[in-house]
Amino acid sequence: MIKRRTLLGAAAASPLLSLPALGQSANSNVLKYVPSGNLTVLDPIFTPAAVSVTHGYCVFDTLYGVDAGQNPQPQMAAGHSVSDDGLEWRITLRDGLKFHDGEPVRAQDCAASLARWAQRDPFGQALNAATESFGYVDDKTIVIKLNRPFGPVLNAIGKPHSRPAMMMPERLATTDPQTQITEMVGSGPFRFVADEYVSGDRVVYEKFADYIPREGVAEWTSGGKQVNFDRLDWQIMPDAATAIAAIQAGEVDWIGTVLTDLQPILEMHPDVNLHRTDPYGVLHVIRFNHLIPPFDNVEIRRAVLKAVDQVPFLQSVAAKPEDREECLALFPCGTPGVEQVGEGIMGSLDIEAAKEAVMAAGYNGEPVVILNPTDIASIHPHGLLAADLLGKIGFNVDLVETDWGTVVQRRVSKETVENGGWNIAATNWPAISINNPATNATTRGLGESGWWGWYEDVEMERLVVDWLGAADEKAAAKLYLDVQNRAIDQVPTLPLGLSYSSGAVRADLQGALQGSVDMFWNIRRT
Amino acid sequence: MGSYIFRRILATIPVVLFVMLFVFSLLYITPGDPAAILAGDQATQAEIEAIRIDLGLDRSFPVRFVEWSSGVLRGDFGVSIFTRLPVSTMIQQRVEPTLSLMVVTMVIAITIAVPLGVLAAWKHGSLIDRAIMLFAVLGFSVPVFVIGYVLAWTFALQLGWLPVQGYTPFSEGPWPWLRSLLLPSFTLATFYIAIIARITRATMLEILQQDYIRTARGKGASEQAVLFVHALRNASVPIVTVIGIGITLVISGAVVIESVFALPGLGRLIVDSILRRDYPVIQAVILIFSFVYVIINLLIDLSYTVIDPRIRY
Repeated sequence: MIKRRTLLGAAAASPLLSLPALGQSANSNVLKYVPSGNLTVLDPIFTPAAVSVTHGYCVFDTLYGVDAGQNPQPQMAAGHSVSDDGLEWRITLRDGLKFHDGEPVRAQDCAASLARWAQRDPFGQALNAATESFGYVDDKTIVIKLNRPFGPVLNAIGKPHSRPAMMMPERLATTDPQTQITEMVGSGPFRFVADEYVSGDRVVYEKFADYIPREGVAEWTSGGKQVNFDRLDWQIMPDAATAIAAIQAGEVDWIGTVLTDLQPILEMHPDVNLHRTDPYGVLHVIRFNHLIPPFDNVEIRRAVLKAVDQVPFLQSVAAKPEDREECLALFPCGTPGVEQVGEGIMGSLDIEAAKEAVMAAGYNGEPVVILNPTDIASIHPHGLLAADLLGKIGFNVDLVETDWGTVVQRRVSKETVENGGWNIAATNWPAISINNPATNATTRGLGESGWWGWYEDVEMERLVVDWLGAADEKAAAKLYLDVQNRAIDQVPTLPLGLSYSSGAVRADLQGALQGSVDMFWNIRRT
Repeated sequence: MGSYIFRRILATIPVVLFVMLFVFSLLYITPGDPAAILAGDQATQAEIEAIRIDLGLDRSFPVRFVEWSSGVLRGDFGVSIFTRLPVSTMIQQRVEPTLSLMVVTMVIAITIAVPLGVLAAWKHGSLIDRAIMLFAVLGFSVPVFVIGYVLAWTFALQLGWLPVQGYTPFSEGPWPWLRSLLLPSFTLATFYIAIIARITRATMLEILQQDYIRTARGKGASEQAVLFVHALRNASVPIVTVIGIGITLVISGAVVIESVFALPGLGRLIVDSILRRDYPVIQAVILIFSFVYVIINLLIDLSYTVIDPRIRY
């Protein structure tokens, strides 16, 4: 059967590809970018979607960013001071910061922005729980008053992904956190051109002339955000193969994500380079429903964990060995402080032994409903492989294959499977968004008020609170390791390993940064 | 005739009302929750519930239907659940590419298909006839995305004559506009060329056997006049019917072509909206499509009276 990608592959293999394309853009002051998906929600605090975060970093700025080592670095902030008891943090703003509507950035704007963010973001919610108030003493000084010690204040407000704490004018930041903000006025390096925004087609930004970059080298979300283009055009392309053809023809400069099976086409092309923006990748997981049998039984979860071999799961989503990595932990390997605590546990049982372990744990043969979205390429094979594995080790599997929209609806059902509930669903998380005990929803034990699957674990929550209030780095590191061990022991979620994706950039562009999402400063045309 | 047109326009009202109720009911019972999609993977049930309430999705079917339909009657299709933009604005942004694609596709299809069909009938049984029919079979059989990629490979990537993707509005000039539409339109037109050429050939073959054709030839009419004046006009009713159906089918074909060539049209809008359960957008686009179908059918029926004066309503 002829597949679309095969045809495009044939196109790319042609030696005549380097012929000049008459349709090619000649405007060197415009950077043309193809995001991984459509931008539908403009408010980066409302949604954790990566494309909204990418958009957010264009329009908004953050008080703190992170460097490549994930250490918080001042961004809009000039610096900060902490009271002796650690309960009052004062953050001073840099001089000359302006919003896109010409108004100066004030501490009042930032305090309101922090307050809204802290109601939506999981790390923010943890900070919020330890906070008495987000306030200010004057136009330049923000004050965060804590009611108990909270060590990672700067890590929280400088987090780089899934709802970074982006600063907005007070009039917008006072919007209900459950309501989207649609007016895009930030103080970031690009100004959103609302008149030219067509959801599903294009998003346009202009360089913000009044933006004052920090001194220093740009690194992740910190450092000098020097913009070298007058205009940034996002073009939404639903078809991955079309985007590949467009970058070959020179019609676009940068593609956010190149599907793994299309990468060889671009590797052969002299004018296009592959670019891996996020070095930490995504962690693939399978989530159990902890409210109903059989996975409310920890012994059954442990038996499944011991039967899992991550390799086939990783191979199903990442063709090349360098695009995947086994990670025997529920925290992303490669991020600071993470150890492979599942070594010697995961994959320790063969099929027969796992089957016996499942039966010994008290499995009664009840149906196990696996929700599997057929329209999400990075998840669908994991549902199939999970069904295969669970079937082999004795579970009575009911694989429900449906579209993503139906999965996300059914996934929040707490009913029994007979009444529309579920037992297992696969998903994946950007590693950088779950790289500490507070933000890792897959291990938090908040029960019915937490992430779907509703894992409840008082001990885990105690460890998280202790980690947040740890007196020093050594104590925090020990508590982080305790959290990792607790997670692998209780198996709230099954870890399936890490995969990495790449985008593509035209060869005449230099300076594309690494980060949790694509960022459009520092890059320049040579 | 006037009363017929009036009656037909009146008849569109219950059709559109039925479509409104049907689409709304269908979406109401279809699984999928826009609030859950909107909230994202990290969301707790409480957050999803709060969004659902904020969007008014917690209200009962009758309340939502009455509110939506009364808005539609006032020309207000509501706002998108996801973008929070007015649905009418989103549709307005997407109409031009789809309309342009439809027009250029049908112009190409008719311009090529009708002469091909006439030629095939005239040269019935010859090599030319067989070649045209072979082309027609290919046009039917090969999926449009395959044709699209082959054309893009040849004319965009190899020769660099045309852009790979994207749409240039007519306001930026007729040539840039046409240039952005040539590949997608030719791609989409292949199917319609095949279907119109086949129906033209079949109808012409039947007509060419009629006594009045023999009479025309006997009177010494030129072959050109026999084919295009005497035969084609009498063969036109089924051809126009197929062309009319083709225009409505182009809308569904546009869904694939708009994705392959990254055209920001209504086809892509409705697919994206269905995948994320953006109910107000789905409802509005289907409503507009159904209205367009009704109008096109009316125009086809009226065109019969022009083509064949014996037909009267």
